[in-house]
Amino acid sequence: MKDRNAQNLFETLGELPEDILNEALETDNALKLHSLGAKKTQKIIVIHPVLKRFVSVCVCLAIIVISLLSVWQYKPQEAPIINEGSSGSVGSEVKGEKFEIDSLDKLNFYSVKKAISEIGFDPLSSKNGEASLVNLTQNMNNSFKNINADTPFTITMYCYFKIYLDDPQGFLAKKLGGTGSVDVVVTKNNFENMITFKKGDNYYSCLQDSGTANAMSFSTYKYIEGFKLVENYSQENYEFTVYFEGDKVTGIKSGRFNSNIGIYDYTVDKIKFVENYNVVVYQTKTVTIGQLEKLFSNEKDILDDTTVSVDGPVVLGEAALTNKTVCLAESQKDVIIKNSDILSVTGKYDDANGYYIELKLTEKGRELLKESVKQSNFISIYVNNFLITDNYIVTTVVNDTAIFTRFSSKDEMLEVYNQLTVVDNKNKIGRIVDNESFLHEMSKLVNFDNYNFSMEMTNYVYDHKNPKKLENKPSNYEVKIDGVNITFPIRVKDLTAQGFEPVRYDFGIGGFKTKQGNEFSVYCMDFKHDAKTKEDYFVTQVDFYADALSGKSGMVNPTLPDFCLFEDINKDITIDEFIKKLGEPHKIYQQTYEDTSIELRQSLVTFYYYFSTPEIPNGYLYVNFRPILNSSSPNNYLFSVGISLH
Amino acid sequence: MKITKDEQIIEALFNRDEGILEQISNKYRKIYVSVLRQILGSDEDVFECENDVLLAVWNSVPPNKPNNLAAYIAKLARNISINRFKYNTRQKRAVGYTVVLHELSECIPDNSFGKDYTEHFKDKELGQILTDFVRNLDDETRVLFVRRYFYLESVGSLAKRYGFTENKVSVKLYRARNKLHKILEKEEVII
Repeated sequence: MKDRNAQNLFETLGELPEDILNEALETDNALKLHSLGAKKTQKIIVIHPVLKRFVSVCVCLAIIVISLLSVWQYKPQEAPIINEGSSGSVGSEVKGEKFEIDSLDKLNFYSVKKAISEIGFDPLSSKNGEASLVNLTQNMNNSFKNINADTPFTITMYCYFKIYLDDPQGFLAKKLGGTGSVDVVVTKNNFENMITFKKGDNYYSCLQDSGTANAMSFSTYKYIEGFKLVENYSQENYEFTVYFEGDKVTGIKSGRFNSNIGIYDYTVDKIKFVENYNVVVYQTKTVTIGQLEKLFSNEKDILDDTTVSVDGPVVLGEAALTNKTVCLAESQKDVIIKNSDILSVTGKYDDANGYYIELKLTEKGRELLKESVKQSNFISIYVNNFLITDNYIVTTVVNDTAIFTRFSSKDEMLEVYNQLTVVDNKNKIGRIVDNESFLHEMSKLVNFDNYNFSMEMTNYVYDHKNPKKLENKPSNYEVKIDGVNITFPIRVKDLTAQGFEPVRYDFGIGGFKTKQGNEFSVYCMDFKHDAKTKEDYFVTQVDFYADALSGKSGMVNPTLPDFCLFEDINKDITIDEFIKKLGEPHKIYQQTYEDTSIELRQSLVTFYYYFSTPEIPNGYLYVNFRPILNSSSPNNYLFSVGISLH
Repeated sequence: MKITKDEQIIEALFNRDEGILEQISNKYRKIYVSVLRQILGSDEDVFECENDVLLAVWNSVPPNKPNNLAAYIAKLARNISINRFKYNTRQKRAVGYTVVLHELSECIPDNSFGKDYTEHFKDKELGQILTDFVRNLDDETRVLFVRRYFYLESVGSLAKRYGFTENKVSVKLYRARNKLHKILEKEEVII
């Protein structure tokens, strides 16, 4: 009977009102749960339908983000580097001569390296309070920051540890170019709290999604792409949870989201936590890209530690940070070769040795190493007391050169090389050069396999550090419509005064006719909150596709007006041409539409460019492209332009 | 065009657009399959009930016009799986369901043992009492309670989802059940 009563109680719970059920359903993460209480105490704000629509459009776009760059990534055949963020490769010969911070991955990682170098390797110093409750405020606006060499990057908590990847099919192994030892840093910083995995020259970073006092969870929904923060909710999601106990990292757990049951599966894609190497520091450190580049390029004047003795072209960038030693020995207590005993490090390949690393040594260095080789050909390498190779490398010492051989693969060689040197990043990234290859990639994203275009790739120097900021001149916000110039932001009444006739207009959205009788759509909002009538609203977006979507072919409505933006940009411009004119956008959104009834699949791609004017101090210029995927003559058709506010 | 808004889905249902069922499945399958699985356990039963859920949506909208489609569908899935369970009396309960019933049995007032509890509540509008009880819970507990006892989400999953320890979730649910126990007792409907 007790069981039956419980059953009845359970059934009656099924009658709970839908608003309660929906609240529980929608409150699906810690952030939302914590904000529930806050919401109730907030003043109720009535959102005007116009603003609501505008916001909903933005949110809609934000939810489905697929980074085009991840698709366009250049993957050199010589070294399969698949990180979606920064990329680099080494050829048959590499030298650590130059160091460049070209992604948030590196900025994050090397900030921690710098911080650690300053405090040494003691596990803790200057702890400021407990491991605080994770800052759950995720302000993705940071992704639009105009980062340059002088942009301060502040970390308030950082930790460093290592993991080991066993499964070559695991998510991280795929991202980082294989199995093996991986450096991990976690920071709380002024951009987004993030975790960065570094294996050799490959990086993968993702952003915090939730957390507790003793744990931080990072989701691959939100990851790093160069200097951009990307949200992509359409891809398979993994979560990494790092556990803390005081000043120690105590573990890391990875899970893959099982969408069928709505929870993470922790039985797959396991990663091993290497307990010996971890440090958690609660300390505020601020660096800039410029400082890091100088530091890791081994410029003495930036080095805090002036005791480093440089006898020649020492390229042990990371090791040269401090006076810590590079140890080549079976244990760090044995033979120790200092930075000053090593002249250069080179990664090479030839038929006789396969992949190998060549160390040029000073006389003292040679003697030390010879002594070590006498004892055993199997040498471990320690850098700053971190074991980076484990008894599998044979050295031979000839003249001033020591050869480290028996690397089983290039990746393995690179892993060691990159820990001995600074990164030789060529700052190269692939770009797709024509519409067809773009559509080909897009079609893969939406599993639309009717396309079989040949891919054309070209090397493209990607200027991460200097995303183009639009100059503050009125022409940047001008659109010429059937020969008439309008300048954003423009009020509806001013648009009318310029000869455009409203054919349908309500708060928020409407249609206007040009003098030639061609129609276009507008989106409006009262962003200055001074509108007394709907004519006072500002036009913030103009669309030039009208009802074209009703056509199965997705062709442009023939009654559309001609339009032209600054720098002679018109609807025929391709995405690549647009980027060449304006530079890399600060953020890219991609959304896929599907209409099965008319077998139409298409994408919407939005570029955002940050700008600032006295009138709009925090604005974006955005443009929308609509590649039509099943048209017989596909194009990526620019159809919309507008501005928005932060 | 892909329909994503609930209002559009409901409008399509009112227009008897059969194609909308596929989109409902795409959008809400995760939710209703989760509920079905927690109660029924067997993949075979879940598979069979999936279509029942969609059919129930088709048959009930219209005339119903739910405000929260996700919750509405979850309700249908819950009822369908309970009915299926009753229909197949020899069916073994899913472990998760059994645990939930065991926990809920703690809410039953002591003096109701040996009695058909719900029979006594018929006139007392148990549903309303439960609704009032849930509404009066604090935000965190309310969400945890509903996710646990309506959607049958496991304690471990709740802990993970909200960044709590499992112990914290268990304690919060335990206190909520205690509170419900006292409320039901106070209603004095029990023998």
